[in-house]
Amino acid sequence: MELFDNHKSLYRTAFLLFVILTVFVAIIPAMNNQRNNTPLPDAPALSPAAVKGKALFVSNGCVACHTQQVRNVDMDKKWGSRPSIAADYADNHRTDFWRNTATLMGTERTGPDLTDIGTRQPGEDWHLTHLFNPRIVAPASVMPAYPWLFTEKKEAAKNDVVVKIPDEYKEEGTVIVATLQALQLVAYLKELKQVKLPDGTEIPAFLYAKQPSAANVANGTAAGAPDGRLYTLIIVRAVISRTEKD
Amino acid sequence: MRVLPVLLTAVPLPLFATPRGRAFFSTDSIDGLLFILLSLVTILLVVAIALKVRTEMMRAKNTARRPVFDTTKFNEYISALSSKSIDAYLTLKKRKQQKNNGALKGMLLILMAGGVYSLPAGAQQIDAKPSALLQETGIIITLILLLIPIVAGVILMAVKVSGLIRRRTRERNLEEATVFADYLTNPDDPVIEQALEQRKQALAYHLHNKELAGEAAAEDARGLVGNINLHTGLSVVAQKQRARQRPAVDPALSKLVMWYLGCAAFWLLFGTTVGEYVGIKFVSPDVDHLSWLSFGRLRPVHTNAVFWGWASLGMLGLGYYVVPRVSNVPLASLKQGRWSLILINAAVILGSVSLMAGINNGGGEYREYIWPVQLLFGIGLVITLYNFINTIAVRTTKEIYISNWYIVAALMFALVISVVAYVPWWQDGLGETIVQGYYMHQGVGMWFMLFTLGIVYYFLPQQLNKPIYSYSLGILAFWAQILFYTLIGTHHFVFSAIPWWLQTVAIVGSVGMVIPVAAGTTNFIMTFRNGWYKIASSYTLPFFLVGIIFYFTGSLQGTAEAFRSTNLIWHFTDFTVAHSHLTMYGIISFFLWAGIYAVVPRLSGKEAPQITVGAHFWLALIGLLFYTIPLMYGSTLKGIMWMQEKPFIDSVIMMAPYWLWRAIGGSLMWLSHLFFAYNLYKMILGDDTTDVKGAAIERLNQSYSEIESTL
Ligand code: HEM
Ligand code: HEM
Repeated sequence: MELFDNHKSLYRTAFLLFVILTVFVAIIPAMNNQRNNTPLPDAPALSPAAVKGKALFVSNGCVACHTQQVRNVDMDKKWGSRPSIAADYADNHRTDFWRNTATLMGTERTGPDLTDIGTRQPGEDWHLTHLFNPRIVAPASVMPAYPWLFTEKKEAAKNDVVVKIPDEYKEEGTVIVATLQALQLVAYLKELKQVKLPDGTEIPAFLYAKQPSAANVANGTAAGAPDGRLYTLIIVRAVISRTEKD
Repeated sequence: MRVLPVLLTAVPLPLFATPRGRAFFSTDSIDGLLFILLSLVTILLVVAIALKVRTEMMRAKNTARRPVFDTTKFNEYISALSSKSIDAYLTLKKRKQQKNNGALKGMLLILMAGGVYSLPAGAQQIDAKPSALLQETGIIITLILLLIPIVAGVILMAVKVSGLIRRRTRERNLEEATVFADYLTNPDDPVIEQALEQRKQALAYHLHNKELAGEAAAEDARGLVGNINLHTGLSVVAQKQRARQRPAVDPALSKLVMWYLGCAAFWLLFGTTVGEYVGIKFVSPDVDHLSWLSFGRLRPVHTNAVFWGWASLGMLGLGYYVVPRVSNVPLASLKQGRWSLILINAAVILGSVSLMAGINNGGGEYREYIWPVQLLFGIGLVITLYNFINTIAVRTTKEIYISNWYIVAALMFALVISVVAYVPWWQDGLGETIVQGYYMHQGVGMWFMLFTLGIVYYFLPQQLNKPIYSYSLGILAFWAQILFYTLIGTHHFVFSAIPWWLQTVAIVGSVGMVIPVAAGTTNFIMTFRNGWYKIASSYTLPFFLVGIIFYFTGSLQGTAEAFRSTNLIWHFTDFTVAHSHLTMYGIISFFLWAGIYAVVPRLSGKEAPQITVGAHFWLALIGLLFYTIPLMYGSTLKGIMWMQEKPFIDSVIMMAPYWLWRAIGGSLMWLSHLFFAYNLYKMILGDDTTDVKGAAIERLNQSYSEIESTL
């Protein structure tokens, strides 16, 4: 064919086809998504310590093994009280000039999902010990140890956070002290909590079509959300397409 | 005969009790399925047994090596010497040796070995309902796909072994004749000597073996004789045809291509050493406690090094050879080619170091390098694209050969993908994730797969020495691939908070991918038509064949993974990892090796030792199967455990043996890469005695002197 014997028209055609498809399956949906979603009213912003902690979570590549998404399927019920919705991620913006947005949804669950780890595991002590070496608290775990987030000292200073470590995991006669970084990382983990849906509004029932128990969660939330209707709209938008699901 | 009861007990008897009112062979009946699987397994078994029998035969023959003649008996025969009786004697003797006793002995072993795979460690904890599971279309597809490479492997092995046996039989016959002749020329018995003398004279009267050849020394004016193998030992690998010398390639271009391939090999070694180490960390998480070597940081070092270092540079290196060649003009600019190489290498070096130092882009897979680093890579691609288009623009052929469609399109698309992935305007919130799905899948499908297909469209016909089966099928596959592949990015986030319609589009597109995959596979397989015999005598074609098989099975496995029902089980498990390696390793890496073994000897005139090429091939293939099959099995169990809401840690404990298998398979793959690196070294820098032409002349000389001495 004439068209295909001319390199200019051949490559232009292929290029255009690809770009048009790209615009429709990637760029427009992405832009729509960021335009149509705002964080839930009750969603607190991360504390400054937790923001630094999140950066540590990113730089150590924790996302290689931990997801942060609760899917609307039965097996994910244990990872949160409700499925994650687009609004849950809406507060993620570009990290800085060098780094892209980190929604940290993840693609592999070598370790447990962390969407709601702050609720599931609220203790700072547990987290610090676990980070120092996961096998102290979960013998079968394959998670790496992060000893470089701690310092080994002969004696703890006044403000030091001493981590409880069994003797076989450290030199005798020393104490393990958490560094600022360890505390920041733990602050982030503790703030990873699913935000309750705003109350005083209709419950988008289809969200819980498969999870009757989860409806209680929405009922039990505190009253007084500023503009419940608006946010319901957001939630409804975020999950509207799910209604098609049987 | 011992085997029969074993086989019988292995057959589930209820199988034959068809439930009333139900077709035995309906696809939704478990029995029908089991029957299909069982038939496949039976075929496998038969092939294995046949192989075993033949190997026994060969062994039996070998143990009877250098037969000692029973002189008394022999004398009886020889006293009545005539050509007929000699013949009878020889055949009798041969028959005796051929009698195979206990050939079936090893069969129980084979059966037992087969049982190993059905040994689910920790399966006791899982009360899976196999019947329901087996009815999932995705699972069925996977099971069948799984069998394909195994069957192909066995067949390939069978072809090789039978070739070996045939050769060995021929040698063996020759050997017998030699021994016999020795005996005839050196007997102690004067009577026999006399008889033989007469016989010899009689024979000499008929033939002095020079009627046809004449007295003059043999001459091979066209250099056609190059594959004589006279050493009689049982060689480990069959002697393959050597690369054919082609019209000279511009030495500067040769050098450029070899630099690309050398760098690619370096990144393969580096990247898979890291991969192997990362795999070991699943088995032994406390091997080190260094931040730079911790799992989360090393994993992207592995994936990015093999993506941008190994596979990309390997493809580009071959592309730099293919594009000018099929355009029939020299490359537009060598200098730009060198710049591209430098930039890409710089990106991978800087990227690996920064990832280990904890600097990354934010967690999206394969875009872990921060933008200034990936920008270097991007500029490298822009330069190459510009260079290739300039080359194609002045081509002397009217058509643009299909390879150049694929290669240039891949470069353009890779740039579009990178721009979309790195520009910040549409990356807030889930926008990032939608773009991530798009990027991740276009990366593998539009960059690696498309480019590699372009390479195969050039090298496969060339290695088979015939045109591609259907040019238009290749064009159909090209457009279908663009259409469907672009749509399927979001299948990485099925059930997530991403718009449901987008997920559905992705799933539909994933099924649509059957079209280009089937078209491509058909095209390649049909190109092989009437040329299958060439596999046995080529060391590049087996790599192509494996690549084609995984192109089909690996891609369709992706389709199987995309259905909601199967994604529910497999998503988030190690199944994805198995798929990644079946494709990036089984397809891309095997095709690249095929191309490299085909092209480098042409550029350098040197070849790698065939035995180490064989070692590379088999270690890589077997390693890959060890890596992926247990992982797929284990991750299916894992998904089922999750569905049954078992404690999470139980699924981690259950995976332990499968992760060990992965480490073992990974070690074999890694070892194969050492062989590959050695081969590449031999092909590029090896000493001159392996020079193709030189070696051929040497071989000719050697064979002449041997022939002469026997005359
Ligand atoms: C010696 C050979 C290799 C070994 C031992 C190896 C090992 C590994 C390991 C342990 C992982 C991490 C899996 C996880 O997090 O659960 C991985 C991931 C990966 N490897 Fe390899 N690898 C090897 C070769 C390759 C090659 C040659 C390629 C590509 C050309 C490759 C591409 C990938 C990809 C794409 C992933 C990410 C998988 C995913 O996210 O699903 N690997 N590899
Ligand atoms: C018909 C074609 C294909 C389809 C439909 C397909 C489908 C899929 C699906 C559904 C997943 C995600 C699995 C999950 O996360 O649960 C996936 C992952 C993947 N596929 Fe494919 N695949 C195809 C071909 C290929 C090819 C040709 C390659 C390589 C050249 C490839 C490389 C990968 C890789 C590397 C991943 C892992 C991504 C990650 O890290 O999460 N696939 N594929």
